[in-house]
Amino acid sequence: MTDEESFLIELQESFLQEASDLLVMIEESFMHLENDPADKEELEKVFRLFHNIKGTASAVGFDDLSKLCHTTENLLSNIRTGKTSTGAQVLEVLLKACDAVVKTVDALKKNNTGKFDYSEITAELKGFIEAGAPKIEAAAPIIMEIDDKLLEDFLSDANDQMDSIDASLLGLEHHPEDHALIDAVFRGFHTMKSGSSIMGFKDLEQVAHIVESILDEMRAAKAGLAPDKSSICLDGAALMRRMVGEVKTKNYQHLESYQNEIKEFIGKVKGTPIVASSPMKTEEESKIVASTGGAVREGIKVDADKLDRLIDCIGELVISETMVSQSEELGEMHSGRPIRRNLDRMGKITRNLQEIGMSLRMIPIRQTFKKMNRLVRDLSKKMDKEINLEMTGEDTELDKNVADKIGDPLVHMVRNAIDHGIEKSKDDRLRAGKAAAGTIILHAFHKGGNVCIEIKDDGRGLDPEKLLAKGREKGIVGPEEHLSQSEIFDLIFHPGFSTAEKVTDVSGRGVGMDVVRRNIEEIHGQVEIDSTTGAGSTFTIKIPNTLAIIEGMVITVGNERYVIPTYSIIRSFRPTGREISTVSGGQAEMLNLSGESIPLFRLGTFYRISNAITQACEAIILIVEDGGRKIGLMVDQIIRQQQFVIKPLTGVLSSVPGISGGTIMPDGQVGLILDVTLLFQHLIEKNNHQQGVSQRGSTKQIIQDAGQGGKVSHL
Amino acid sequence: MEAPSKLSRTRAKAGKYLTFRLASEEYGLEILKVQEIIGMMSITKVPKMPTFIRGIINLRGKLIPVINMREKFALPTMADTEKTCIIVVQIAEKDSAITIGILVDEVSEVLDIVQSNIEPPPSFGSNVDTNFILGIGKVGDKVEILLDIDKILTDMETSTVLAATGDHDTSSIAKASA
Repeated sequence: MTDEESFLIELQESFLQEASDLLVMIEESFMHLENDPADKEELEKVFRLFHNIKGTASAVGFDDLSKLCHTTENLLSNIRTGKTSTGAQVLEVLLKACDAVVKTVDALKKNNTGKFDYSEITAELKGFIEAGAPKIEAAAPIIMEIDDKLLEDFLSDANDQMDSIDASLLGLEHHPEDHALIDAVFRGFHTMKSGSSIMGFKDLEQVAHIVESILDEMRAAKAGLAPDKSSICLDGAALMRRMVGEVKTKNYQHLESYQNEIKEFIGKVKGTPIVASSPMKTEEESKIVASTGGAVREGIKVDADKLDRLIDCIGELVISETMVSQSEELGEMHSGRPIRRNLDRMGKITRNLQEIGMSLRMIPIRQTFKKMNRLVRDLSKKMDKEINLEMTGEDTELDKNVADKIGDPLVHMVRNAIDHGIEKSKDDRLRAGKAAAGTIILHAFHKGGNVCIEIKDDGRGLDPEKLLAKGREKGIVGPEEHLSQSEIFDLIFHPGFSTAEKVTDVSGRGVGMDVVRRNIEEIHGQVEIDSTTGAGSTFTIKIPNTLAIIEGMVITVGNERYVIPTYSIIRSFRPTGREISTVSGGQAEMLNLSGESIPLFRLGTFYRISNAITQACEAIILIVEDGGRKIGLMVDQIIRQQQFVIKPLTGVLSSVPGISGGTIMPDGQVGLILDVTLLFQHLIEKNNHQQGVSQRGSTKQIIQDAGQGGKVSHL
Repeated sequence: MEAPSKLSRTRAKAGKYLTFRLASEEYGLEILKVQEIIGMMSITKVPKMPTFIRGIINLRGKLIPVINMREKFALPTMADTEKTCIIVVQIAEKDSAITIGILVDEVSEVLDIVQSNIEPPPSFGSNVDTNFILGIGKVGDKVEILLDIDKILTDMETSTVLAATGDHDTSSIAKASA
């Protein structure tokens, strides 16, 4: 592959990634437009976004995609100018076009040379374009609401462009004949021009255009840059820089006050300077506003690989630091020694670095939430239910890996809330004294090291009696068994419970809830249900901030050490021996704890560890839980509790029964992390072989992702 | 049939080989596969793995498996000595490379072997598997077995998967829990 080709692929990759983000924004704007088809600002936004995708797609060689975007843009342009009236049908077609783009982008991610057939959608789009009869010209809308993400991109790009323009212009002062430099400056202004035009900064566009034309003349004449022209270009660049500064502080309206300066600039270009009315004042004014306005923070795009390597390095640094500061030699040293102080300082800095490292991977949940907009819209249409989706706490940050994994369960739960939660018809709702439109609220917040996501609906709620009846009928609940309210709600997560289609008639959300629970448990999360019959339900998902770190208990068996995640341990105790009884002629053991019978397994026997403690009364028993089931694990000793960074075990090591990953112990040795879910599969679900294998695969994936995510913290 | 099959089995290429000793046998590894050589360090045992997987080590924050080559080739076991060391190699697996360590008695030297000194692996009939041998290299009076380290893993993986999922291994416990 030539350098050029690999560069193109790199560009294509970054385009596809960007396009995905832009498409989410487009969908969101369409949602707004559906409620308010006359909203000019949203229309402008969609137009700009399609324009943006079109431009970049064609630049990186995705011509089909670019053409489709172009046709869509034309229709949007007609709507903008009033040639085509907005309406449900037009929006439907636009959404279809948007879907086609989404599909294409997804397909291109997998195969960057794919060809696509858009004839159908293009025909539909064109139909609307041609059908649009000329109407009254709408007033040109003024953009003031600009998307932050786009703005950030524009700003970082603008700064780079302006820097390189300045550098090239200064170079030209010394070498006025250098055509490569003139070309570079020309390209710089041209990029600024089109960037400003996409963003809608007309004044900025105007200045860039003037300078661009001067340079174009030079290029055409193959002449050098005369000193006076060069200074004009520098003036133009300086003016643009100031205006970009205004954009940065979000004082868009102040851009208009540059009109005088622009006129003056044009005058200079034409060789007849005119006196501006009050340029000083405008500048002063803008300075004051600039200091008070909230600045947009600029971002830098970093390769995910580099980020992972950085986080890896920090992780190693933390481990090395711990090994030094906890070394025995140091322990023997007098505590007043300067090296101690220096090490303390280093420890603090290391921990600081570690915190920053972790935060690098944190992203707001907004993107995940935004996807629900479209889901709710489509489903409410399909099921003919009117539903309002409200979102709060979209800025809540969580690890990118967690955010990726939470998407599917969230979709499932929102779908369930619409399908089963919200009443079938408006009349039902009105009869119950509720508003005709149902409401679903997504709420995210931090709580004690966890991220909580609430999915709340004001629908029918769960009916405990019906659920319990269903549970008994299915044989999940014994006829004499009494369940608490939360235990009854938990029934909907039972795999057997949801298989029957009839569940929907009960009031129950059953479809696939066991899968939801399983997905969430894979990222070490929990789901809680709160529901009032007739008033609605709240599902709360609680997940750890990051997958990369777990709180674990170090245990020993014989000479081996293992780490068990603390969240799966219910309690631990030293048995007296009386609570243990054997079953099946001594083949299996059982624990009897206050009337509860729990199977007991010896870890030493399972893993064939030679010198494990065999006398129960000298060992420790851990009661561990997974999905409501409990077992007792016999181990030798509990050493301590601390945080561990999960590291992936790859290749041959990825299939060790009961082990989900590795970690590095404070002494630098490798420790193995026991996964209770996996242990259950190997100890109990041996018969259900197939399921065990597939389940293990998915859990492994998570651990691997977590490992890639950030091998940071330690201790 | 004889001639072409013999030809196709000489997969070893001329070049530099890192040689190491296992019991009385000398082996050679393509130098490009070798990442580094590290001294013996503490290895964490992994349960339920075939015996030739000695365990996992922490290689500067990365966890890599270590294969005991003596076990792998069914040579008599021996306690580690001062000369025992781990050769870290990059092996190809499907389309990605993975890092593993191989435990050997002693690293000898780096040899430059020319094509004319490489012979195809001898055929011992079906009883002896020579699949992981690239060829036999001769330098002076020395005979080096040139290893196809990529093949070692494929072989290893299959057996691991069998060990991990096969019921024979844990059947007693499964019965006990039933």
